[in-house]
Amino acid sequence: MKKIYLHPLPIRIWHWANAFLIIMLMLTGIHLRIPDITHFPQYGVTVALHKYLGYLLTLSFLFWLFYYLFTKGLAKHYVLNAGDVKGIPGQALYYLYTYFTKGRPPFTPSPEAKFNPLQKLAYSSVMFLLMPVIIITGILFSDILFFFRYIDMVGGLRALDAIHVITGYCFLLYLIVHIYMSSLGKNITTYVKSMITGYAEEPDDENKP
Amino acid sequence: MYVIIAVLFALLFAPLHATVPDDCFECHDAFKRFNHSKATCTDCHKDTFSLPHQEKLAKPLCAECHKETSALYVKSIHSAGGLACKECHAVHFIDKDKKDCLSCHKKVAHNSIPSKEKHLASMGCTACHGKIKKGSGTAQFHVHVSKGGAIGKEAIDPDKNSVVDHTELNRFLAYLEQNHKDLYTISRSYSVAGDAHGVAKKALQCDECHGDRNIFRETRFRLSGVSSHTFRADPKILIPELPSIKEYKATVHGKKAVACSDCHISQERISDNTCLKCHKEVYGVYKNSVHTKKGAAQCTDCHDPHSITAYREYDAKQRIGVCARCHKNYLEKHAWLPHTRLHFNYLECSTCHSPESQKSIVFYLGKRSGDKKQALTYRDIRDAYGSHVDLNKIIDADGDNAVASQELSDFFLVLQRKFQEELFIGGSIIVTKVHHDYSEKGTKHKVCTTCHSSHAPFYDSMYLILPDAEDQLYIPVKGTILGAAPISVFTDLSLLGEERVTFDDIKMLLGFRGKDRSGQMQELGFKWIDILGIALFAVILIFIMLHIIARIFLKR
Repeated sequence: MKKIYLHPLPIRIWHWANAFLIIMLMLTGIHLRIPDITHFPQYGVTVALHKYLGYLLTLSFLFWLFYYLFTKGLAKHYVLNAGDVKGIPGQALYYLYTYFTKGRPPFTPSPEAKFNPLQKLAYSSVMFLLMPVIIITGILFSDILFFFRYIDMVGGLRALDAIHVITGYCFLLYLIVHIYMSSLGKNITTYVKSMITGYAEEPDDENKP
Repeated sequence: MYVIIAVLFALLFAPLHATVPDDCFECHDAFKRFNHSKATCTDCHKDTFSLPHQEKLAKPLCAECHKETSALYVKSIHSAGGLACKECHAVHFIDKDKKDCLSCHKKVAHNSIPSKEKHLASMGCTACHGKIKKGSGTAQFHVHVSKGGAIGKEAIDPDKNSVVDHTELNRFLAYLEQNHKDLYTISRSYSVAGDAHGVAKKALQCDECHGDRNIFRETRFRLSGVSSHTFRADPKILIPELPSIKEYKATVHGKKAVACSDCHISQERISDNTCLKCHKEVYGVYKNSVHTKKGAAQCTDCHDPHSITAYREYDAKQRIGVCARCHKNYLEKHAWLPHTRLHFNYLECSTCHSPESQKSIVFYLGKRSGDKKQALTYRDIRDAYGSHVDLNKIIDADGDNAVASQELSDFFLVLQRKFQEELFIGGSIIVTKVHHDYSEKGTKHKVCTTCHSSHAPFYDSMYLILPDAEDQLYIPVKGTILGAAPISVFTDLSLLGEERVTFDDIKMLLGFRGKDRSGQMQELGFKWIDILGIALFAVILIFIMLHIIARIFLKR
């Protein structure tokens, strides 16, 4: 069993910062949408918090984007190729069945290809679709009067709100699955540790989603 | 020959006529100095064919000669009261003893005429009470300059159009102040005489002179003294313009038949006491508020009694405009409020500053062209239907006194067919029942959740405002009715923290509450987002739980 260095330090820092921001944005977002669930001292504070955390998330996203553009990892790790598409059923079957029969995982991560096909599908959907949508709609919300023309093009404030919230729900659903699947390693904490240290165990290790 | 015979016959059978006036005076001595212009006794007393005449003569008919006057008189209030000509006119001595208005109407207070002294000094009774012909009045603005150098025409009429208008007059008066200070006098004279025979029940209304001014045909400007010039004059310089008078009948007060003189009893600006005569209750609240205590604002500072638009027809921005006349720095004062300007697009000041007012969410239909947005007018809706429409019947098609989402939906679809993408539903939160105490400074009320919560008071009072032929219709709508179908018509109003899905909604959806389920499902509108979100959340949790259970049992 040897250890491979899978997650470089900048990406590990980004991951945890991103996690913190998204969870905070979710909590503030829920408070904004359902004020009766009060977990922040004041609605006005929550509004400001949500806004500035959103700006930070934008920076975080840009950092991620430029890091992978710079290191040319975007196509390698995130874009699905024909092989990945073929691998999706096998990977799904693994989580639903093979995992319990203690069979070998169909995919082994390496610094060249970190993510299995299902991970690629999930992460690329989040990073290329959900993230830009929620960031752009969020920025439009940041100064409604200034962006009114664009908001009108979307279909008005109510439509914008709907898009932002639907995307938010998608993040919530993704987050639950992501956290649960991080426990599917050798031990419950294996993947979490790997995301802290950067090292993953090989070869008798499954990959995490 | 025939002519001679005819003349002889005529002479033979003619009444006594003027040929024998002296015969009358033999008996009627008192009428020797009789005077009725050129008429003689028998012109009126026609049944005196021979002398001595019969005991009782017929009543002379004035109308036979005075046709027009009589025609006018029979319609007058005096005729209706049974007054005959001779009650005012000494018919046998028309040059004396004629009665005038004062003979009967000795003490008329005329308290309701604004600027009573001016009006009464320059005009007689018939100017207002008589029958006036349009264009029969004349007025003159007379300036007499007693000393100083000569004044040329160009000083009075610089544009040389021979008419002195307001601007020219003001300039000329300034010129006089500079060059002839204390050496000039100004007088205005008005002459308008109505026919006293046509006194109607109602006097002339203010607007008949101050409105289009077509009573006064000839208005002049005359300079005398050091130089003599006469010009035609713009009537405006002699008869003050009352700008709203034309529209007054369409105003809220005008529609309720409040007359000018009900409020304007002098030329002074009307005071709160005038408004108080009718608006006692409202004033009772207002007088204890900060505005009155600090002497800051009278009723008319905020309310224009001549406004054609009722306050309830003002949108949020217009209402803010009323407060902002004095509270100019309202945006700076509300810098603490996130999205300050945005809030003021949807709110009016009294939404917060008059806590006891009833707040409502009001929606209106509008159309946009480019960046411009404007509310639909009744004509727009009529055009969409192609004929006159009774909005009440359209909005409540089944006549059950409640507007169901289907009814609204049908209505929107008709409008959408006409206006396509231009159609939108705008919304704002305004006060629909005003409480006139604006003393609440709101410092302790900077709590967002007063409004941004499902408990906000205005959710109990939501209206769709539609322009009807004459008025505005306030149609109560509930819940998310406007967020509902047709989905392409979005409202422009979205409040953070507005009512989201409730347990009741989910229960209804699961079929625990039956009757009009499809309608209610439509009314869920944007709540569907939460319903789907929560449902998916539940599905995934269940899936994960199953996975966990499998892991436990299979010891993975």
